[in-house]
Amino acid sequence: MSFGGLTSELGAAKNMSQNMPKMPKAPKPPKAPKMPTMPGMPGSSSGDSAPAPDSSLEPSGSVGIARWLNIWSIMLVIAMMTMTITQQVGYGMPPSELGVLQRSALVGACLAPILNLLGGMRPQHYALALFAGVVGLAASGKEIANHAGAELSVDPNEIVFGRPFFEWTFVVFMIAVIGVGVMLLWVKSWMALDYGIMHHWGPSRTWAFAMIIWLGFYVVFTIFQIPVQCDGWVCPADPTSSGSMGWVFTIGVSDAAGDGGSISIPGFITIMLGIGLVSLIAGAILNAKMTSQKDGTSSVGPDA
Amino acid sequence: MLVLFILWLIVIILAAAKPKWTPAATLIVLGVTLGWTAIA
Repeated sequence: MSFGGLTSELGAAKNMSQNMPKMPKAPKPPKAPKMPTMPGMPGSSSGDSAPAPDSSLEPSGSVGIARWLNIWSIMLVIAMMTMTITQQVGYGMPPSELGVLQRSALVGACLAPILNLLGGMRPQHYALALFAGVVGLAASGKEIANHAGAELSVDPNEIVFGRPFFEWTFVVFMIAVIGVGVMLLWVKSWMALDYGIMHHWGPSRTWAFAMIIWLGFYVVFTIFQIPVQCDGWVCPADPTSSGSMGWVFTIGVSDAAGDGGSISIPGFITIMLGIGLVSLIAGAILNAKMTSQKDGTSSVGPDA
Repeated sequence: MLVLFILWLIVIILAAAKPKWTPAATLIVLGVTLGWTAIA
């Protein structure tokens, strides 16, 4: 076969292929569905790239805000407990049976933020706060109902800011239940990969440790308070206060003319706030210690 | 009532040491609290 003949045969074949009807394109196979990712699993950060486990960077802005909200929720419970303990010890009034049970539910509600802070944000931790909220609402609701039915009487020293303790506690549990609902709806706050404060240094770790230590102190305090103030293992259903404030710090003041006066600070509040300050210092020391230990063993992440 | 807070102290320590068991322990103590509330 000559070279010219081959060229003409190739040209004819090309024309034939151009004239042939085109085959319809086969449809593309559907894409495999993406595997659902669980919160806290790699790749579940909904677009945010998680930083290294040992880092001062938050996995996402939402997680950073959620971390502080968890710290503030423990702070709210501590404020509530400070108020009740101050009234009870300051005015010589033992806690009521239902009051102790409400305090127990408050500690239970704090376990959710404690686990969120120590181990990372998880929806199952928030579930614990919901259960605690229901228990607390039952206890405070029962006390409200018993007072409404005149089965129990309100002692004047039970009233703080115009309302009795148990009504404030009821409000706090309502806030807890609604707050947990909001946090669960705010998916970005718990979907990102988060290792908790044990692998995240910074101011939030200091405050988180401080709040946990402070709460732990109140739990230990209650263990001593019940036998001392209630004279036994079970507190009275309807306690009454013994009278005057037990402890007052008085600071004398005088002006240039020599006229004197005094400023009285309820001593027990001072002591409670002092415990808070000690907890904060302990939290800062723990944070610094953990950061320096990490710096000595690893070089992952930026400097604190 | 004292026992409740001893249990809470254990649960808080457990949260730092063995977080895996903490939810179950929390639910148990909350259950005791709820039961006590019912009979109080």
